[in-house]
Amino acid sequence: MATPQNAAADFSDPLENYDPPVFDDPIQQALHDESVSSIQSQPLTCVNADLSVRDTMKLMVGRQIACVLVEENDRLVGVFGDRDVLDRVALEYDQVIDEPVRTVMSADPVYVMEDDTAARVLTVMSVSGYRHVPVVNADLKPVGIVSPQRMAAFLKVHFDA
Amino acid sequence: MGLKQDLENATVDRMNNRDPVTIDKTATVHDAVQKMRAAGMGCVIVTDADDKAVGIFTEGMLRHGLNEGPEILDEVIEDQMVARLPWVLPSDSVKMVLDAMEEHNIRFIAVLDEDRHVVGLSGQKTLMEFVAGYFPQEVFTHDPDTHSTSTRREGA
Repeated sequence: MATPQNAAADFSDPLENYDPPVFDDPIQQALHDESVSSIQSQPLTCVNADLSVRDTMKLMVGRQIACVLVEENDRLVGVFGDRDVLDRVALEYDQVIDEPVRTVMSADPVYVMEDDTAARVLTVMSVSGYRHVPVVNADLKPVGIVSPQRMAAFLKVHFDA
Repeated sequence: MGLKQDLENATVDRMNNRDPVTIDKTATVHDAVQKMRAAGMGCVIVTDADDKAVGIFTEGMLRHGLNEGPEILDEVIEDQMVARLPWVLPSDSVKMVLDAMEEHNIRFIAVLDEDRHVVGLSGQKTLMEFVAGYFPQEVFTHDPDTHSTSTRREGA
């Protein structure tokens, strides 16, 4: 029978001989090596899913931000951004403006974890079409948001390095 | 060539630029919203009677206007647009788009031809796509079901 002692002795790390890719290009290397946490992902603005659309938009205008994260019980449940305003608020203004933001948010958004790579965020933006990518911890609590603006700043820093 | 070199040497016309959505300057914001929705675009290029670009109206401007009330929808687009239209030429480098994004905090850049007609729309999304193209392993292994059940796309 396996015991913790002999199980540890028998353990063989499948990644023991893993050689991470080496790029000639410094930007590609940085995107591959650096984690989401190396991209500025704060400040972030979270609102409760019960907050009204009116108050959410007021907050966005006041803070000059294009997207807020929507949470419920400390977990990410959606994002609400300019595209939602365009698609679900503008022409339905009277019907939705005093409704909870959960009714017009984009539910179950694509997100990344704190230790995902910068390339992963870029891929989410590119493939999934989301401009703002929430960053969550292991408990799915929002801890940051990566915008294209912040991604561009990351690229610029490594371009100039 | 690597990404850094390509950002400097590749030209804007190599990017996956979008077809611009245009609207006459006498149209209303309501008309613009309908066009933006139909095209799935975050902005419209406002043009004059000669089809020359005279400004841009974005969904960010829409948010600002709606924050004051729905009356903005009845306004003439010319009164709500921004007349300054950032632009690049198809022969400019991709790096110029990156610089503009980072330094001027703008999302869209019009691509103009030699006659200053709008022939495309570049910006944040196309730049991210350009860079993501250097990570095919990330793109090809991107699991659409991981971390997401959303089917909507946010940005153009």
